[in-house]
Amino acid sequence: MEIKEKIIKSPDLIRVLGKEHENKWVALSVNYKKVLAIGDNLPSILKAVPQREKVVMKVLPNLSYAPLTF
Amino acid sequence: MKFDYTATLVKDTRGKTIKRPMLELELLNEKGESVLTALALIDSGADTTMVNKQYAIPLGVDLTNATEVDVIGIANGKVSTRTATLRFKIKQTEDELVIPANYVYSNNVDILLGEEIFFDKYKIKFEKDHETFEITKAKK
Repeated sequence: MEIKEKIIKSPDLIRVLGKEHENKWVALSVNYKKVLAIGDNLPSILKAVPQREKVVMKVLPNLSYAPLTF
Repeated sequence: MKFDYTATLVKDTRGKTIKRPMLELELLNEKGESVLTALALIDSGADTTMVNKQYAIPLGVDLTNATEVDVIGIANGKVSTRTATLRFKIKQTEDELVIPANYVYSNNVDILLGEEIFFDKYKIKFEKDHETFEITKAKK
């Protein structure tokens, strides 16, 4: 009998983020269903959403990514 | 523990959604108190962890006298960073880590978990063909 391993589901960022969030900082609800705040920097979104229950992220440009090194 | 790759807004050369291996982190301050929740990209192409400089103040990381280190990417030229630490818990495993991190002022960096320390502490198996990745504590 095959035992299926539990896989942690990833947040659905596509449902909640769009072009308007590109290059911005956002605060998302912990279930990733709502954008709670959008701003040009991290302090502004922390001020807009003072409660601890949120996920913050810098939404990167919609471009492919290549590595960094020393 | 296995995780799904996270879909991004970016498309590849075929027009398909690019998915990346990302982990949800609880970022901790120097006292070990949880301050923020954020997403980090596991980046096997980065030698060291890179963190956007804007996280430093809320996390209480003082970069004033931190060592300055230059890094390079694929573009010409170096980017100046400051080396400190990043303290965090992986949300799903509750594992707490403190790793060296280069704090950078950049529009193109949120949090990148690079190889130094993180890849020594964990065996990381990327299974892009299944759109999953697995992290397990390394046995040393």
